[in-house]
Amino acid sequence: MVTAKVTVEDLFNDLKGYIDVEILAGERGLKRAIKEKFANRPGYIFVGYDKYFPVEAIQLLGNRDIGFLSSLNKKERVNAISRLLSFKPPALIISLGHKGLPELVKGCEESGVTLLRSKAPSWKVCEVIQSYLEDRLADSVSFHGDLVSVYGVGLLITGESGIGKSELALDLVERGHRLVADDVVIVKRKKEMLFGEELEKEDVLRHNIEIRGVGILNVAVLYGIKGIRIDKRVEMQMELVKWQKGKDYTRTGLETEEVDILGVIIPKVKIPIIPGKNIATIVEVVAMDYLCKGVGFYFGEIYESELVRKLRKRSRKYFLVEEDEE
Amino acid sequence: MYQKKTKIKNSLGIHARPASMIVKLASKFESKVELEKDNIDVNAKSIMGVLMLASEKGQEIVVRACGEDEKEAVKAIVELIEKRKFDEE
Repeated sequence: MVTAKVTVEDLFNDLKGYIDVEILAGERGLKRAIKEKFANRPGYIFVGYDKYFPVEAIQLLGNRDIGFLSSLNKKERVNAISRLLSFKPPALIISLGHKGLPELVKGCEESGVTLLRSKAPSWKVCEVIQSYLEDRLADSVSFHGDLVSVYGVGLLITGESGIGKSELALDLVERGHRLVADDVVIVKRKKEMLFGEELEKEDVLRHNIEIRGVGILNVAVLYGIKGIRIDKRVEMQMELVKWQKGKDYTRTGLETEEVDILGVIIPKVKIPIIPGKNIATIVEVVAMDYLCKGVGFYFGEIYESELVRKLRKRSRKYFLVEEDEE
Repeated sequence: MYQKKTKIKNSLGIHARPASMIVKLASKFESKVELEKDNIDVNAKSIMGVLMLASEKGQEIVVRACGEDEKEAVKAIVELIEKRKFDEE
């Protein structure tokens, strides 16, 4: 698993695209890391209760916090602020453009904790920080394989080297589906869902694919914008395996195999590869089958229950008067 | 599993030619061979992965192999990177 890092400086720079934000004090704390995925409201700390305090979260001071601190006398206020700063949180952010209390500015400057300020209301600051940190600090894992959006279903294609994953991906793009990543797929968990993208972040270098015997090809140039996608929710894993005689493969589709990726369970299918078999068609069918299941059509189960009904009816026949059948 | 840390020595880093040298060499071994940089693992037998690591001169990467000839594989690749410097210098 990959451990991501976000510094206060990253947060400050990236937040600017969403809300206005400025640095009031404690610039030397900009390189410190934020490790929690949310903005904490430090309220209780000011009145002395410090259990379960999330020390590694950025602390958000809104109307309530600034109002409370202002209501204290100077000595109590200095105490309350130094109690908060004694935990060395990565940074503080004031919402609604409140004037930083002089004691707060001074305390942050002395302890090297960056003090940020935004004009946005607390809920907005909270929402923006949380979705930014959830994205940046998401657990992630890298897969050797391809990610293709087939009829809108994110299929993670895996399998050993040389089995034909890239060739399959190209075949799918040729049929109008969209390539997300070839060779290395970075899968992140966000809000109990998996999202996959390419390792490469530069647009010009994205969506290249290597086809053995040909070399590197740029799918975006060859197939245009409709053949590519930047990221995609990963909904299913498809493992390509060499066909082995005597090995069991799914035949009826009544049981589905599942795989746990970063704690999220998704269905997994194993497709045995036999020369001459059209894998792209099978992949399309797998994606359509997945979509059908999404709206309640389980072909294997429907067939089975219809078959059982038919068999019951037939076995009953022996006991009925044949001419009087309903 | 056998692994070794190494540093990129040639001035251009791992561009297309060095990457294909790594892939060719890694493919000679039976073991699964991986390169790791900044917590990202890629398959050393596949060119796009090796290229996407975008390894520059002076950066550290881990060469890792798993299988019967893992030691030979790691040693050969480390030698290619560190000693032979991809025959560039």
